[in-house]
Amino acid sequence: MKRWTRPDIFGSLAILSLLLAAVLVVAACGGGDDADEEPTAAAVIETPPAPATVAPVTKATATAAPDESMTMMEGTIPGSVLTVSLETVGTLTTEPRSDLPLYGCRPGCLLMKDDIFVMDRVGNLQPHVVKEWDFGSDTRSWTIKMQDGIKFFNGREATIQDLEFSLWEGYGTRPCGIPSPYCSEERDPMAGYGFYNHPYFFSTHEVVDDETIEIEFENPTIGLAQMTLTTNLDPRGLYSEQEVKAVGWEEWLKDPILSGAYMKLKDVPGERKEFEVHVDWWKDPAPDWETQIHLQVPEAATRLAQLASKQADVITLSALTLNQALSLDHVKILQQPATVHLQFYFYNMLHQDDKGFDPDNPFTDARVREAFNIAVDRQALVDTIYVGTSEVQNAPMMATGMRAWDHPLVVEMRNNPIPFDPDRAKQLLEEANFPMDRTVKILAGVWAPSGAPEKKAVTEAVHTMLIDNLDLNIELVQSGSAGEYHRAQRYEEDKPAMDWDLSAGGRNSTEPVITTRSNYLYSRSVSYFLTDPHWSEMQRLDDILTTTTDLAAFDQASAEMSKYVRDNWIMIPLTTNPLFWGVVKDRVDDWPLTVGAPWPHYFEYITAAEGVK
Amino acid sequence: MRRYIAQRLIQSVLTLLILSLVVFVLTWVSGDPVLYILPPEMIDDDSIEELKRIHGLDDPLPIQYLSFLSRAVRADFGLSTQFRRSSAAIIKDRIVPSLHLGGMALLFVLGVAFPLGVFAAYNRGKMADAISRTLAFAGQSVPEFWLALMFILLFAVILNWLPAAGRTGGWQHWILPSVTAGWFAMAGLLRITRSSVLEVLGSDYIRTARAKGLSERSVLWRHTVRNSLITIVTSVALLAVGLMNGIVLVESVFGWPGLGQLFASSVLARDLFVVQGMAMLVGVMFLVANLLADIMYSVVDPRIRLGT
Repeated sequence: MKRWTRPDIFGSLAILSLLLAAVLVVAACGGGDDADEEPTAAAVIETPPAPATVAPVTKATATAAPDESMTMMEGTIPGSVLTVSLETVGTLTTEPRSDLPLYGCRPGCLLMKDDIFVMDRVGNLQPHVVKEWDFGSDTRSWTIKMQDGIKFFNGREATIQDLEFSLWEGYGTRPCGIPSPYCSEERDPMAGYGFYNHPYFFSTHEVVDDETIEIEFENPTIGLAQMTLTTNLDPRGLYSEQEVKAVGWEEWLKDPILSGAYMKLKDVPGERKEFEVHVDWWKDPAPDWETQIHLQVPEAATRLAQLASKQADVITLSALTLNQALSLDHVKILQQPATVHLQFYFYNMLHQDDKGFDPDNPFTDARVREAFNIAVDRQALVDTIYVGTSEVQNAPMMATGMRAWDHPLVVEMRNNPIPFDPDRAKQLLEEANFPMDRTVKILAGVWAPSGAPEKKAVTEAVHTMLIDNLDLNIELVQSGSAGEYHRAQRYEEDKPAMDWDLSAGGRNSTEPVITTRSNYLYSRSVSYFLTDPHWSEMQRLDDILTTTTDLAAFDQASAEMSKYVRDNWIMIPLTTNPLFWGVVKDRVDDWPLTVGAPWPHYFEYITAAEGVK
Repeated sequence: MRRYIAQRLIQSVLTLLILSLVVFVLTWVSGDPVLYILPPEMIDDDSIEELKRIHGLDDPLPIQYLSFLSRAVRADFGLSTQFRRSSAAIIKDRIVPSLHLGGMALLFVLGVAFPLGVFAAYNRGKMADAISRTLAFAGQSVPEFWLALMFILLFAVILNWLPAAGRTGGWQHWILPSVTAGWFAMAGLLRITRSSVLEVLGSDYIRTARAKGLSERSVLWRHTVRNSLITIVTSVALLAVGLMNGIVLVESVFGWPGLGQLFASSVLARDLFVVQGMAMLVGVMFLVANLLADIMYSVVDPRIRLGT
């Protein structure tokens, strides 16, 4: 009888088992790292020095000189590829009136479009598509002149009509380009686009000659150029009027014809975007890299592995993965300073006209809000979660380097940190007759913004600190922020409007002017929960910020707003933290990191030292 | 047979109807969808009313459900709030990568678990059996997330043999995601195959076959394995769908642009219409897999007369 023989799979099984064992051993040994020898992030990373002062928000200039602080490269390296690994490559939306902001598109879109202006490291405007400008004494009468020789991807030279079209798309009063759930053909909620609630509309505009446009705005435009005509926030740029009109926005967006440094080569949804250099790019010098590949890798550990194995040249990092990246010899860390603010907002300060207003709500008592503030050990957050790389936010909404950050009022706040005093906090609650059996509800948005990967850890830490230091029942509720903002506001008439006491982990990026910042408090969301006199005071200051043309007054109002927020304990400011990028040393030499911009402006400014793949 | 398939199809349609109702109800249980669609700065009474009107969300719930059902039949789940594109088109973009990954993972599962299970059962009590059982135990107890990271650490970072993430660039990109995605299912099928074969090996007709002097090869493959297949085929069909569920995590770790990654990002972004579409899709996949498993019964075992 012939005996059945063993299939030859045992060898494979043995190999598989051995591999698993090897993995287990490696894991158990922690990759050979010695915790004692790990470098301290704060000690190793060099933070670019903060500017001594910040230049005026608006200025007239006739120069076209590039910012000298930017490290420029000498030209495109043939065959070179830069691989960038990101949490998300986002959607490729470049439509200027789209309600989808550039957040979802960065950094790919930044490669393809030319901004009207660019911002330097300290928030000053620099020429780009516009070479000269004058915003007028009241900042409402703009005269701008366009650069010569700008070419679109199809080789056509851009005209003044293209610039007019681009600005009109952003600030004219016409329906939005692409219908969306909240921007339809039937209705135009975005008509006369307002940046948040600040109205920047044309009242008149005129093409004077082949290079000049004159525009009259309805309102002063202080900060407008920095906020929306650069890469800072919104997808404004130079658009090709003829090409857009020939095919319509929807078709055009599939293969956008713009004038930036790179053209779209390939877009695989959810996986990668590939860009190739635009050989006709008008800006000198040309980009370094012939091709850029942006990979979408949501898992931080995987991105780190890509960097460790040099499968990616650049990755996004968080403070949570910083030490692992620092332990790699071939890696250096680029730090974008003071980029994101994290804070908790108090919700339970309803305006007396709001439904659900409760005069007996304990959070209307400043002593309660102070107690919550001083029960948080901010320095511990900085030392542990941010491994020493962030700052305690003692001056609310005033990151180092942003406009008015060196105002005496702000300096005073920075020099007098918010104390950490649990005993005093408990005493304050007692004095305010806070109902200790009350369950305090904190709303935590489930969405982790790309600019604040540490948000979840910070939220959980603060939650624990408040429980431990106040002896209260505090419930952390994960929820979608958008809906709950509103539910907390005044939508459901038959229910108490206020479900939440605190909003956890609110996040601002440090836009360079406080007009944007003030919206977070005044007209956007949290102000809905401010009772008088706070609401009136914030409104007064915001009106100054959005209408003044006096920079001194602007700075004064900015500083006063910050101080008012702190003195009245209107929020729980926590940290101001940077963003981090891990880069392979011999692939990426330098990067002009900019205070205030949520993302580094241009990947093409990355310079190659050596080692082209 | 045809009658049976027809019955099962009717049952599947009814199940789908119930599923659609569940998905629809859960949508409302989780909160007013309008509030998730609108960005915070645009939430005002006018915007809410307008959006409700545009999407028919101001209709009575039964009407809304019928509308949802009507659109679902046409695979029209509305516009993704995250991508500003049709949800169906987005899902369609992501199906192929997921099917590729699922298919490769299934190949891995079948290629390893089935022969190894048979081999272990045939060598019951021996060292090979012990190793197989250990592997099965490890496979079912090691979390996929951890395993994925360990694979990346070993094969991408330490050995630098394989890419850590991505799909484009060659067959090397497929290995780690496929093995990880199939790991848990492999262990399950290994155990099922082993126990199923063991059960048949102990039956009277196998003893009879041996007494008749049939070769061991014939006893094993013709009489034992074939009679074990019913259980195994059923398990494979269900494991295959379970495997598709597991790729949510695998795709996120390996940067694989499939349904799993889309599902994760859509849930986080509260992209309601995409989530609805995917929930329906997964339901359909389960139903199809079950139907296929039922049909396969008759293929692997002629004794079964379906529908008679």
